[in-house]
Order: sequence, then C-alpha cells, then structure tokens
Amino acid sequence: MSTTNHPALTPVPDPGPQTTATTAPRRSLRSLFARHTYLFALGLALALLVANLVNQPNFGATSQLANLAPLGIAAMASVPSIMSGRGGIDLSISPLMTLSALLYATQLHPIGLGGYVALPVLMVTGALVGTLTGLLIVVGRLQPIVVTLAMFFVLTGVDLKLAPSPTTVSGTWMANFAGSMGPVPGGLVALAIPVAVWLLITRLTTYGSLLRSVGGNDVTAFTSGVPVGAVRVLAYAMGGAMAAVGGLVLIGLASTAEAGTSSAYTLIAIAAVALGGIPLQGGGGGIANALAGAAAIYLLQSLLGVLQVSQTWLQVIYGALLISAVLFGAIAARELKAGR
Amino acid sequence: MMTTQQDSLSAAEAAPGVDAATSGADSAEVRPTPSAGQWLLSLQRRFPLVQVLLTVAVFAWGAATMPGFLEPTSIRSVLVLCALAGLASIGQTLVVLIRGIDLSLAGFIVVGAVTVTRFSDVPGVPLPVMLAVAVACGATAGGLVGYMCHRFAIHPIIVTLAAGSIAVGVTAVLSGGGYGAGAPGWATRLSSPMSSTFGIPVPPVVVIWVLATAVVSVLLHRTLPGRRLLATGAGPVAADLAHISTRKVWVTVYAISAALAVLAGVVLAGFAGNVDNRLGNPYLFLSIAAVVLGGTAFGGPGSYTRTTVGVLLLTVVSTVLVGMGFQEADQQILNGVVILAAMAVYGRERRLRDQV
Repeated sequence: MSTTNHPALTPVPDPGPQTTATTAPRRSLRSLFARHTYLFALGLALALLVANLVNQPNFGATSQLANLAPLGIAAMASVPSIMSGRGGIDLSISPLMTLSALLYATQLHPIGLGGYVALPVLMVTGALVGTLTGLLIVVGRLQPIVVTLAMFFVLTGVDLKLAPSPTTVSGTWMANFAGSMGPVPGGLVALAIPVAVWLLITRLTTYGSLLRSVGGNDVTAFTSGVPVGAVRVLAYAMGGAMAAVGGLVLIGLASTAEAGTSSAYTLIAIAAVALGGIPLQGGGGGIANALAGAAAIYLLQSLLGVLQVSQTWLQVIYGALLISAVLFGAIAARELKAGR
Repeated sequence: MMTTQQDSLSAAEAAPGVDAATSGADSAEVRPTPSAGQWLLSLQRRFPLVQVLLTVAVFAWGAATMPGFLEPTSIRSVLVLCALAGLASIGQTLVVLIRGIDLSLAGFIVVGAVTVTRFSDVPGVPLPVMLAVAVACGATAGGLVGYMCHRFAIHPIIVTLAAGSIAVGVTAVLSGGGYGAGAPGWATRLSSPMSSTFGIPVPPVVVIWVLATAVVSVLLHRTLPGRRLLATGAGPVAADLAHISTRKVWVTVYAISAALAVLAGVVLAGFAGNVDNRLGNPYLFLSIAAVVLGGTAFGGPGSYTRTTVGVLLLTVVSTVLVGMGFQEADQQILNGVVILAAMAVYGRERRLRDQV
C-alpha cells in the first residue's frame, strides 16, 4: 500500500566510478541478495539449524518437519495472493486451515471418508473458498485487504459454528503427517503437496509469468492482453487449496480440531513471508521465500525453547529479527536499484 | 436483518432521489442532468450516508424487537463500548489516511494497560509520571516505526507487526511476567457505565471520546499539520514537491498513533479489570474494520468522523445480535457480511479498463 508510493524516496543513482576493485565484490554480493531475496532467510535458517543441532542432540528431523509444516504451509498459501498485487494479502488463510481441519473431523471422517480421499476433497473445497474471495475482489472490485479481512471474520464464525468445542479424531490416516510415510517424513510430504501444486501450475503453464506481470502492474498487464481478473482469482484459489492441506496437518499433529486455532497463523504467516523477503506490493518472490522464512521462524522458536529462554523474550527477539530482516532486504533492494 | 436494511435504504433513496431529479432539471443546461443514483453517490462520497442509515435501521430494529433496549443503562453500556472502540481507532484512522496500517496497536494497548495495573504503585514514582514515561516510550517507538517505513520504503504491515510484538515482549519482561492485580479505582470509574461526569449522567470515557472526536476532526481538517497529513496521504510525491516533509508526517503520525494506543490501553485496563497480553487483539481488527466500514480509504479521502460512524455501526450491530441470542459464531459471520455489504455499496474501485 505505501511502499509503492515513495518513488521519491529512492536515492538518486550516483553514476560515479563504482567499478573499482574494492567495491566490486561487495556490490555483487549485495546484488546477489537483492536478486535472490530468499537467501537472507535461507542463511538465517541454516545458521539456526546448526545452532539447533548443536544444542539439541536428539533433533528428530521427522517430528521437526511435522511441526514446521503448518506454519510453512500457511506461509506458502499466502504467497499467490501477495504476488497478485494491489496490496492483496490473504488474511483468511489461517481460519481456512482450521475450516479444513474441522470439515474433516466433523463431516468427512464420520461418513467414512477418513483416508487420503479427504485430501483432494478438502483441497477442492479450499480452492472454492479461495475462488469466492478472488471473485469478490475481482468482480466486486473491492480492496483485497478488506475482502480478506471480511472473509477472516466469516470463516472464523463458520469454524465456531462447525465445532463450538474441540473435536477429537484419533487414529486417522492424517496421523501419518506427524509420523513418517514409509521412509519419507510425513511433514516433508505435507510440505511437498503445496510446492507441487505451485510448481505444476506456474512452471508447466505461463501462469507464473502472468502472475508476476499482474502483480507488478495490473494496468500494464491488462493492456498487454493478460486476463487480469482470471489470474487474480486463480491466485486466491491456489492459496485456498494449499491452506486446506495445512488444516489436515494440524489434525495429524494434534488429533483434535478446534476453532481456537482460527487466527493462530494469521500474523505469523505474514511474518514468515516478510522474513522470506517477498515484496508485499506484489509481483515478486516465490514459494521458496515463504518456506525459508517459515523455517527460520520455526527454528528460532525451537532454539529459544531449547535454550529455555522465557516466552517473554521470545517476542522481543522475534520482532527485532523481523525488523532487521526487512531492513536488510530493503537496503539490498535499494542497492540493486541504484546499481542499475 | 438484511431485509430491514434494504427496506429502509430503498425508502430513503426514493424520497431524496425525486428532489434531485427535479431540482437538477432546471439548473443543468449543457451538462446532462445527474440521475438520482449519481446524486446519491456524490452525497455518499462526502458523507457516510449508508452507514448512518444502516446504524439507525439496526438500532430501530433492536429497539422495536427487544424490550429494555432503550433503557438508559443499556444505552450507556453501548456508548461505553463505542467509546472504547472509538478511542482505540483514532490512531488507526490517522495512519490509514497516510496510506499506512498499524498492527502495533494491540501491543501498545497492552503497554498502557500494564502500566496502570502493574506500575501504579511503584514507590517514589507517582502514577502520572509513570504514565507520561509510558506514553513517551510509546511515542518514541512509534516514531521509529514511521521513520523506518518511510526512510527504507518498507511496508508498514511488517514493521508495525514487529513493533507490537516487541512492545508486548518488553512490557512482559519489565513487569516480570505478571500483569498486576487490577486497575485502580479511578481507571475503573472512567468506563463504568454507572458513573457520571460532573453531574452529566454519562460515563467519563464517553465524554472523552466525544471531545476527542471534535479535537481530532478540527486538527485534521482545519489546521496546517492536519492538511499536511491529508496531502501526504493523497499524493506523497506531490506533497514532497510542495515542500511538505512527508517523512516528518510519517514519524509524527506513527508516534501519535502509538501514544494514543497507550492511553487507550489505560482506559481499557479499567474496563476489562484484569489484563493479559491478548487484551489489545480484539481492538486491532475492530479498529481496521471501523475505519474501513466508515469509508476512509487508504490515502484518503476520509476523516475521523467517518470512523466514528463505523464504530457506532459495528457496536450497534453486535449489541443487537447479542440481544437476539446470536452466538459469537453468527456475530463473526455477520461482521464479515456487513463489511462486505457496506463496501459493495460505496467502496468499489474503478474498472481496470478505465484506469488505462
């Protein structure tokens, strides 16, 4: 919303002699970070992983991946809507995840659709909810943040209606997400599903570049013949489908579905995406950013837990980290612009 | 509910619409006569007509269907709820007017609340000094947020999210994790529906809110700093070229927003009694909803009076729903539907093909 409106803030490029031997490597490193925005979060995540491994001798990859999965999926599900531009950021991802979990626990599981059959069914349901959000934005010509805020309220209410009290579902196929499926950790499978959806749609078709063009400048994209509305609706639908998977992982982890988790992932998913370096004005970034950001946040929480840092400090550190990450990203991006 | 609203809306539309068509006919020679719909739209752009009508309709419906809805006590408690939400969304309105958004509101509300419950009886430091320190800290942190957003062109969602988190964390560290016994008596009396202000049978918080509405509106629309703020929101580049230091505006607005949130936290602590670190969360989403529902757009046009109407609408709707025995779930759904419906009436953007 605001960042796009400060062209005057960009420092005037200084076309001085910048190719001296001392500045060249530093500049190239900076532009590397500016071009691959996920590198900062990835580096942070790797450092935190090492710190975790040192401090935690029995750092089980299977359980850690399973615990990471809901946050990772929530962050990935936020990506298409952010990339589609106009300040779009899907605040309804977190209640949609809970909705998927509750639909599974209260509707599908009792009628015998408890196995992996539920996965495609719920993904389609999630996609339909996402499509509704997208249609409200595109056809209703409403501001995305307003529509997703309204959907946040609506879905939170629907969650509460479906299950006023926590519903326990034990011994389902979804428990595999918390354990392992054959040799593969279940959390990895859960994370792989949204990644697969994303890669299939953006890499096998021209959708990826269409989404970038719409997010970058929708008017230009429109004049170039891009079906802007359809691209936006599909972006929200994809986010919805991804979120549905996240809900099932929640079931697998906790064996209960409760409406209380409706808003649990809203703000932290935004934080993960921002830490991953996705520009919130749209048009840039990708799913790798969200994954790297989510991994960094999860590993930080895990490390602070192991070091027995109290919960109170956690929030301070977490906020400071977020601010330093975006500052770093902003300075790197500025450098890239100035160097052009 | 929807039928009632639509009935009252269409009735209201019909009456002034006829006037517009007749009075417009003799004045327009070259320009085509504006239709009743256009006239209503232009009125809606200047004044939150739909929101006021909706509020009145819902209020009338509540009064008609629920016995005791018009009793002074229930009206007073509705007003207290309005005042709390209204005080919490002053800062959000200002921030939205400069195209920002403030998610740190919830954090700074906790700062104010904990100051009053936990640090009200520190030996050697009188409470007013303590409060002044808290407000100053809040303003400094808010100013830093504004500076960072503007200097590095970072989206305020992230910076304010982080700042709110830090504010809650620092408060928790300073207070040793405890949230204190409860608010002192004077803070409770501020927002108790039974208390009165200098003989007027209205709780002090409502009077404060009304005064704040007047002060903010005058400052925003009738003074130089206010006009600078509006200009910054309307066109940051143009404002910069007109020698308005938009950075100063950003720093000031975020500082004010944080300071007001700390003060709102003081009042909320008195209302809620016991305080925890989630005290501010409902007011965060409520403030955004009220601003949006009032019809203030990101970057303006808009005003705090519009937010006031949004607050009234949201509070009256939820009070009526509670009175009718709706559960929290239905309320949440209807909150969302009301926002969507109101925005669909007046908040639509231009078609893409018209923006080329």
